[in-house]
Amino acid sequence: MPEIIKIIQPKEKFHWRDITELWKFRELLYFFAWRDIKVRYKQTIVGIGWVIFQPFISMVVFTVFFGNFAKMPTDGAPYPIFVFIGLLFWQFFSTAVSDISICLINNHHIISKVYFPRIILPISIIFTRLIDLFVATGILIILMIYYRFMPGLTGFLIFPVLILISSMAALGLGLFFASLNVKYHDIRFVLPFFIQLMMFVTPVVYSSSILGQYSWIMAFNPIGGVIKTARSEFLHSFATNWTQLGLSVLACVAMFVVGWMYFRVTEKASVDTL
Amino acid sequence: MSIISIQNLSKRYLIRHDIGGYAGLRERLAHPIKSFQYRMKNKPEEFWALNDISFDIEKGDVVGIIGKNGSGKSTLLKVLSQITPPTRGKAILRGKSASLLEVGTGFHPELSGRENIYLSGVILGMTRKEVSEKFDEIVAFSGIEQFLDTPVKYYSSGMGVRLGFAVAAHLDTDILIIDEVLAVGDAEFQKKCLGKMDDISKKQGRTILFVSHDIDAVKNICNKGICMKSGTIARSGDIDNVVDYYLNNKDN
Repeated sequence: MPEIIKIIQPKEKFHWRDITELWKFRELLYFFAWRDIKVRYKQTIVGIGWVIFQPFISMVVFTVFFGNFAKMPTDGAPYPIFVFIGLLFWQFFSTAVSDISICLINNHHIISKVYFPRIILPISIIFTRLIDLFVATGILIILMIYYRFMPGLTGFLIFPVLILISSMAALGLGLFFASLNVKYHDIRFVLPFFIQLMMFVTPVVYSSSILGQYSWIMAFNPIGGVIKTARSEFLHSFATNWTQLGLSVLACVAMFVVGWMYFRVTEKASVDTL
Repeated sequence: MSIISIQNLSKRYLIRHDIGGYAGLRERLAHPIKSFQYRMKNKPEEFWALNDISFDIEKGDVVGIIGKNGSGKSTLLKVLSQITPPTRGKAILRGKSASLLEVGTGFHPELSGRENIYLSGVILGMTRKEVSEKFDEIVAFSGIEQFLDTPVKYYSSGMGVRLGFAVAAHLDTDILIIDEVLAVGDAEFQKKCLGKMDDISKKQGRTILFVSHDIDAVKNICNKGICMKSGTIARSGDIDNVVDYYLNNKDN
């Protein structure tokens, strides 16, 4: 008989088993993502249309006010395309962070009844939100065709890398807030405000070039670095600053490590305190 | 070798008495000094839900765990299910295990019965393939064929319980850990579930840990028993002995 031996004891320090274990739970990961997608489309009347509607309307509003009236510099591209590249990553990042931050609370009824590596939940949220991102990418391509704008093809090459960076950053920040949420139940009321503030320090509606010589600061905001790189590659209006992208990668790895470590500390206590 | 061996298992809970009884960051930030002083003065209270428990369970045993409320039964199951880590000691489970601490674990009200069978099955530890193979059996056992594509939120509570138990009863594991799930559901279905559990242990040689307040049910299906009292084992052994002990000592 093939022996499966499970030893339950006080949680020790990090072990590689924690990572290999995730592979065993890949089907659960898939089902959590599947559940969230199904439920989202069943609950809203607009259903799948919501995924298209939300970034599209944001783009229209921003174009009218920031593009037409405020006349923001756009690094030479039509404002709708310019702002949409920013929105694409920003909406993915912000929705993933806010979903992840409440995932332990929302799934408390499952966490308190069954064992699985808790990090499966946040990771499944990343996948759910990636689907929105892909739909929004489709809109971006349609916009480019509509404006007869020929994007830099290297943009599509670097796109997966940028998605990876944003996913890691969202996971890191989300895990951090999820852990805080377990400890302090009022975090979730502050978070929407914090995320909104973050949008203003991220070059979503404006170009990072308006910061002039200080634009390197943006590199420490991983999602800002991602948007900046995506624009430079797609709009080919200025050369990508690889050093700054490297800094963004470092910042996102740091965010991920800190968030994940904090999550590991709190996840074992989460059932007892929530 | 015993299929489950538990060695000096202890679980401590810390009961904090925060200002206003509510853990808010606002309190900590608004009154940092007061809050700090308060926390220093009021050390969290310790509560040992499990206190140095050791026992072994042999393969094929059906063990009934009985005891008063707050005696540590559910905490024991939670530790064995890996939901909460023990504070000291360890437990070794030799075989695949699954826990059924609630009927319909992971059910989502917006999803249909069919979808929930898959969702709950996978959450409880089955693979998608296993669920597919047993799908017809699960549906037949639950007796809700007509409502398979209705969202679970429209189910009566009885139907939900049936479906939930049907999924759980088809878990293919060596060890099954069950909390008082039979307290719900009508008498007929309870009988069916007890029959199924009996079937699982006798024919398939599985090991079951079963917590219940229903002494008759425990006597019916278990061959071994453990009686718990304030986090320790008061008596263990043959089920009849343990039940007698429990009934005689219930009042003090």
